[in-house]
Amino acid sequence: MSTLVECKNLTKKYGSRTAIDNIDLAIESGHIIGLLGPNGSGKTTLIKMMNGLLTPTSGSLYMKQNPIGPTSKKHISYLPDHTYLNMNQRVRDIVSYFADFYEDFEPKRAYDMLEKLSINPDDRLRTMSKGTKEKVQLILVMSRRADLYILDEPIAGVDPAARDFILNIILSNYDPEASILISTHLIADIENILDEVIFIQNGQIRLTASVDDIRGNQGKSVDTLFREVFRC
Amino acid sequence: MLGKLFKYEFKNTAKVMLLIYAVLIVTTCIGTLALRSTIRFDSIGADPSPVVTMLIVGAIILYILSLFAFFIVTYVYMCMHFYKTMYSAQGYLTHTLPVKQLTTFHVKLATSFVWMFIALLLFIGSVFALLNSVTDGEFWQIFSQEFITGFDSELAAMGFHTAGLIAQFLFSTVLSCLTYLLWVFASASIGQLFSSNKVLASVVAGIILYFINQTLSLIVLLASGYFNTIFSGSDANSEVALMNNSLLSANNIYAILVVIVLYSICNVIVRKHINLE
Amino acid sequence: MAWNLDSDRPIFLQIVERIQTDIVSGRYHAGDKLPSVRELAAEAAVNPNTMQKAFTELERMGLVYSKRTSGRFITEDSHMIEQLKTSLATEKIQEFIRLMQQLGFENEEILALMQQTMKGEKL
Repeated sequence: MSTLVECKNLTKKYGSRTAIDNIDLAIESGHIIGLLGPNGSGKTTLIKMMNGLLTPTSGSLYMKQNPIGPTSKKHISYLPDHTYLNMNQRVRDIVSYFADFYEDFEPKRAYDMLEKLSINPDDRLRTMSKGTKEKVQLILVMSRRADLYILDEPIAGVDPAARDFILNIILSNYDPEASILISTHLIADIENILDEVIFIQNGQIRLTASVDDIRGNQGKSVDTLFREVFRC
Repeated sequence: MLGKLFKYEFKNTAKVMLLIYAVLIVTTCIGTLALRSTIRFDSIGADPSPVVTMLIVGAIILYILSLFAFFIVTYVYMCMHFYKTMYSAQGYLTHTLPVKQLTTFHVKLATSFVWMFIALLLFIGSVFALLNSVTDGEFWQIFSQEFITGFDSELAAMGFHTAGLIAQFLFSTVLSCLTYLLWVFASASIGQLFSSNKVLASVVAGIILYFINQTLSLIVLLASGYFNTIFSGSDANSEVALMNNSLLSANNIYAILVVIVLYSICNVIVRKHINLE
Repeated sequence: MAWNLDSDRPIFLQIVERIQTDIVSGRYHAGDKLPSVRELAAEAAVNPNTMQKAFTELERMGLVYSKRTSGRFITEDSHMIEQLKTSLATEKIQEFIRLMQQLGFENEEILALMQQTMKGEKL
């Protein structure tokens, strides 16, 4: 087990608003971690900084001792919270694009999953429903052999059947050496697959704990604890 | 990685660009045909029907308009492609590729430049082809003989050289292509720094950059003594040539500076201030 | 189909209980090979790490043993399985008695009621 991501005094301000407030955080390998917080708590901001889409205002952020850059991006597989691919492209083109740029991408796994879902690789993204587009994106992201998968709200706004499917894709592609960071505010839906949780509120870490500890020591589900911690 | 970036950058823009080029080539053919037919009618003394005249005039107008549109469309497309792949949703993929963000930027700049430059060559080629065809090949003869060899001696007397002129032309073409591209790229990069209304912010940044550039270039003009010579009333040929030469070089230096400044804005923002909120 | 798991108790404990039940009920026989961590985790829709933890716990209890290359197997010690069966049954009965006591029944009444119910079922 090793430390994948390490933040020290990490702060992000948008003008006068502080989105991430002096966070210290370490993410270890070999875990499925829930990044849990209400809307606007700073989950996406933190995730975007880890992926180099936002620049921290101050503090340090390292991925395996490297600053965020080409090396970190080689090892992080990231699913944004909205569609981000070129809608004019065919699935097949995007698969070969991923295969060309990410050394750890396995096209065979992607095609196997596409086939299971009966998604035609020759279809263009724009002809697909929103749900199918999201599934294609998840398949691409999970077909990499990354050290860290960062999934931003992968189950927001999907029906229970799609949710089960998404969790199944995540679990069946997960290599226990790696870690998955899943951000969500729908805790009950995913808490059975988490082993660690990070509670975040107003840009600050409220709690980091193992799920077994929460359940074993407090006899509560993560969802119950979350409602207690974030009671309005 | 660099090769792959170029491969995909060209692949993603090729379809639209080749279509734009094809449209120019087709309208060049139409324009040429239209012009030639008016000459043919004139030479045989025929009086074409009003409909045919209308068609011919329409074709010529279409050709001239398409020449302008051709450039504008190429330019606008390059700018839109840049914004879309760098700073809109697609930027999430662009900026999470395992390459330096600056490298990505360089590839986009170089690719856009190549398309623009080819567009310019096609533009010149189109005008030449049209003139050449209308004059039954005389234009090219005149151009090659008179301009390159004939004018040479006269120009040389004024302190110009054909090779130098062509070099100067190429140089300022390259610079203005770069300036126009970097102007928009820098504006878009500044615009994305804002939390919301990024496109509006980009437009405002572009306008501000434009006015700064206008003001500064006016100062450069003044400083290079352009107005002084005009108002001093000096009219000696050699002095005009000298003045032109120095004006050109002062302009060149200024243009290079503009490119450097715009590039530096992009460089700093792309390296350190990506802000995909 | 995902397993039905409570969300207020550690999942690995619930998996251990479920596999114990599968062993005593005869779904797994002594010496049977268990599915891999990955397969079973996918079936249960849980984290493979959690499944691993459950297996480790079962190994610690001696119900499961692993051969280095060929995987994990149910113990061949039938005596131990019998013991497990008894202890699980005892647990359930104690739980049942506790619930009945909460309803205000005495032990004799519980026994009588049970006999009556079982007869009724036979009819």
